[in-house]
Amino acid sequence: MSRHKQQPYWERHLVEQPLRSGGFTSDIERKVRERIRMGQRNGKSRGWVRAAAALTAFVVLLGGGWLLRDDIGSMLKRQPDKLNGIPAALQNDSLADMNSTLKVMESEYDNFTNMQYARPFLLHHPTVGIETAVMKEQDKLLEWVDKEKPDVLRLRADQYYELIQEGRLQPLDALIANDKVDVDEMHKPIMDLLRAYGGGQLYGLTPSFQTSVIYVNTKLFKENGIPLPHEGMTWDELLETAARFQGTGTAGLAGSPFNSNPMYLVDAIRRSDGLQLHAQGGKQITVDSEAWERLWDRLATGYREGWLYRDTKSDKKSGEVSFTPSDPFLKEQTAMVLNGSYYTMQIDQTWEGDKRQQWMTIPVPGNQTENLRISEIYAVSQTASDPKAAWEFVKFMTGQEFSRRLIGLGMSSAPIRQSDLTGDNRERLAAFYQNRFEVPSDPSFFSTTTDQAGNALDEAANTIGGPLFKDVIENKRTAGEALAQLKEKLEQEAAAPNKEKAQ
Amino acid sequence: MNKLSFEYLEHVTGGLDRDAVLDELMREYGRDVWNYALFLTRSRELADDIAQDTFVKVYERLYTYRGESSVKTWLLAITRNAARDALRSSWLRRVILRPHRAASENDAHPSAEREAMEREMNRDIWSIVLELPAKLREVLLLHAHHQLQMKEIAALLNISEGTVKSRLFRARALASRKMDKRSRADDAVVTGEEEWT
Repeated sequence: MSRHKQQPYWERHLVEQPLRSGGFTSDIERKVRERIRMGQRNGKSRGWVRAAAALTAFVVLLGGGWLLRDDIGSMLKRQPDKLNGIPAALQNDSLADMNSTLKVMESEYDNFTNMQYARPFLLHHPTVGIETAVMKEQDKLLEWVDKEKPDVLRLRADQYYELIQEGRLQPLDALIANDKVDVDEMHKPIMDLLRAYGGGQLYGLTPSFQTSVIYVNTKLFKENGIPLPHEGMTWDELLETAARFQGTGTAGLAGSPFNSNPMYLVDAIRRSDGLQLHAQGGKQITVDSEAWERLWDRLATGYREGWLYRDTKSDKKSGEVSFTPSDPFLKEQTAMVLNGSYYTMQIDQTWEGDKRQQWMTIPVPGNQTENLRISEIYAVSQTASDPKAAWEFVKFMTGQEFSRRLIGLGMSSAPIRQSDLTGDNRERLAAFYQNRFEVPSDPSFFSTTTDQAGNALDEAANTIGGPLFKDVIENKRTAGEALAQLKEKLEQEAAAPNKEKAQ
Repeated sequence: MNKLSFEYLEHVTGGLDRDAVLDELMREYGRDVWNYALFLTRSRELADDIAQDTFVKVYERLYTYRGESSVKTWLLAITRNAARDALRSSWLRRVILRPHRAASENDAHPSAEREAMEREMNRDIWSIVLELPAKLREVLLLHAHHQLQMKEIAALLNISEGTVKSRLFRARALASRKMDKRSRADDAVVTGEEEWT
């Protein structure tokens, strides 16, 4: 095609080998294997190269035109990355005399390698190498840790708890005090949780946390003369605010921008209001309470009257998630939506000009602990081969420099230090730090493994509850009747807990 | 062709036989690595060194390959860094040890090394291409010899696709011009284009 048109007649010959003899010979292969066996790195001292590089800037002037002149000249202008722009940091490299390689835990669907997370650290500590060990979904954490022996772990909250219980993590409080790491700058409720899991001691630090807030389209509020919602509202008050949009042609609130299943909002609210689905590990189903009935009634009314957003066109079967680009908040079909921190990026990418100034966030009412995700807790393994370097890495990855980089890359979670936010973000994202989190009395709260039966019930409540709730919206049953039905079915479900697993 | 058989590299972890993979990689891509090093340095001797360095590094970093690029592009990127390191130190070594040579030689009097290489070249076009400024030469060879796609070249050199295209265009124009002038032994190299990205 066009490639051929532009291609000069001689170019096809360049596919061939340039030289008649030589090239990559078996002799080179043999030397490579030999060097690997000898564990020889470059055959040259790094210190020599580094010292020599310092001379080059002026030596190059004397060089003149030799065979390699053009290549050399430009190459010397470009110092190796690890020396570039950070001379001060290099001089203070506390790990300079160490030649260690850190093995870092990576999960299967992780950005660690893809996004080159370790790169800034390596620039500061050129003598340290990083390699990763990937834990697969099906791997058992403890077995994997004992087999792979990673130096640095990157853990979800439940994994963090498990490894503390098993004595696999190094306590950090002494190191934190020694290096004057400002943990007081880190968001306190999260630090309280991390500490509570360690029985008062910190065993890990996190660069960020994930939670939801309520995104508010301030323009729609203004246009309809409705006062803006604010921090400190209860769910009742917030629903009342949403209800004021009835008849305006715009919904007041959507449970999610991509999931139009009404059960999604029901679930979010009952969790933050502490309404339990069951008690005693699933032995007792508790959905027939007055509080449950009031919630179902109120929300069903909202959907019926249109002030809660519902995509009626794609009213699919319950639980189905749609990724079609029909975001009701971005299309201004709803004045508020519940969503996580990544959404700030989405808004910024979609809305332009004045629109960029027409949104804000407020915290979600109630207790948001169940909605909290801490998925990247950095910890030092008890078996770390080089604990000093491992701790430096943990410190760096949860420190300010890396946090700024993460924010720059596009934020998908809230930085652990609110003070790392700058500009518009500072105010717009304040709500993430206003959500209320309570340290659960049961420390195994986040453990996904301990409450299998309970999780299955949660799922069943949504699949079975979906059609029942729809009936309530459509006035085919009362909330009381529907919940009685739900209770009955969940009790059957609880009595046959193995059914799910057998499938 | 052989691209597929290396896809498993994306999934390798500690359990893999690194030696076996290394042998396979050297067999499959050794020539590419060596040629790229030759194109960058125009020195057979350095190409030997760099090819070695590259595969030693590949062995060390095997577990860090996660398929963000093709295996070939990944290898070429490592080659490029190794070439940079080797040139820096080899140049110093030569300048320090043999300053008279460095000062007395220039493009008008090709070195013995270069003359020997020219005799070895399969076609005249190779010597012309190797005379192109580094920036243009590299893009042309990545495209014409290594057959990388525009976006792969852009990623490898950390420049935009637009820049790749414009360099390719200029490389072709300049090499064509030189072909035409070949008989007159007028090899004035256009300078000012010498920087690597």
